[in-house]
Amino acid sequence: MQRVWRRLGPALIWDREPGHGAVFDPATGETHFLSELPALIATTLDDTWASHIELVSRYAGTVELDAAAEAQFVAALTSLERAELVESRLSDTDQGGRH
Amino acid sequence: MAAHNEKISANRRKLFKALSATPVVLTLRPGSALANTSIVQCLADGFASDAGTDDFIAAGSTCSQNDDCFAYKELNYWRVPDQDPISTAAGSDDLRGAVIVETDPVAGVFMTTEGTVVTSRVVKSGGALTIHHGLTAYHGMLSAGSRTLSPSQKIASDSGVSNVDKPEYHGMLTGGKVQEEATQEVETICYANVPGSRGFFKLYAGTLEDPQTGLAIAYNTEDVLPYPQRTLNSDAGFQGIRQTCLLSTDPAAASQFSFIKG
Repeated sequence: MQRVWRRLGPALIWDREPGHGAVFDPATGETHFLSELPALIATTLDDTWASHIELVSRYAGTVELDAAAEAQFVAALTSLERAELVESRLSDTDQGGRH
Repeated sequence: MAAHNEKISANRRKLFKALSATPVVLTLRPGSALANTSIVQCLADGFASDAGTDDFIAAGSTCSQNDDCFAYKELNYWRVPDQDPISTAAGSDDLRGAVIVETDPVAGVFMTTEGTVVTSRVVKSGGALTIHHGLTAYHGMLSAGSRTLSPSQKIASDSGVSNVDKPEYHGMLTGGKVQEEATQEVETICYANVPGSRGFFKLYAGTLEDPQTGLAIAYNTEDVLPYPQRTLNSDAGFQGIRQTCLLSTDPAAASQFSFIKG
């Protein structure tokens, strides 16, 4: 069962440069401090749904990740979702093509 | 094309480097959100868990509205009569007219509502309290009746007090509870307390909360440091309360907070 991710709403405002350090989310009024992996993911997401594999590809081209690395990537996405920086849903395939 | 490949290559290196560390997302919540969340939870929990105790009783029937929404701690207090018909000696430590509050029932701390600690001049035994000032000692029992220690009877008639050499009086207390709340402007975020600490902590800039663990750490604009702790009974007797909470009289105005005042 695969999830897909996206970010809607206003652009994030980074304290220094995109992908580094503190980021302010105008949608929630909250400031977040992201470690490197969530930060680079946050700069990669946009308003189109994408799986974690597609996000990896979007950021770094074709890359083979082992299972542990994939899990780490998804964990970062989940952290971002918990902080309400991104949203997710099951992919179209997992939802029987309803979307 | 070469530039694109270089960019992808650089990103790939960044990705693998980033994957080597545990992802962390810390959230600095705005003070208003923190306070609003906390006050609602605190008061709601207080009603539920402390019903029938002296802690966390809210004025008003609900806290759904901004007004009349506060929490406080009930504490025993005694009011010393304004007039002393026997002794006219005022002295430098005259307590006539003072309201003396038992700000810490556990440690036995007494102080006036003006903030003066008078523990050394108060003797409490069971439900009886004797307050010495000048040449007069007032004595009261925790029972129904007048809240003021009325100097209407000689203490010699009260078997609970042995010192009958001085003119002493006793009075009856009603319920013996003082209900005080204080509202204080805070310059940044809020105050909070830690269960069992019997002290308040001031959050200067905010709180970093780890959403995965729920742990909060102090945050300061200059550094990450432990909260400066407000000493028990300083500032007119703030007293530790059992639950961690922030008390706001007006959830819509995060700069206004109400505290337990002992």
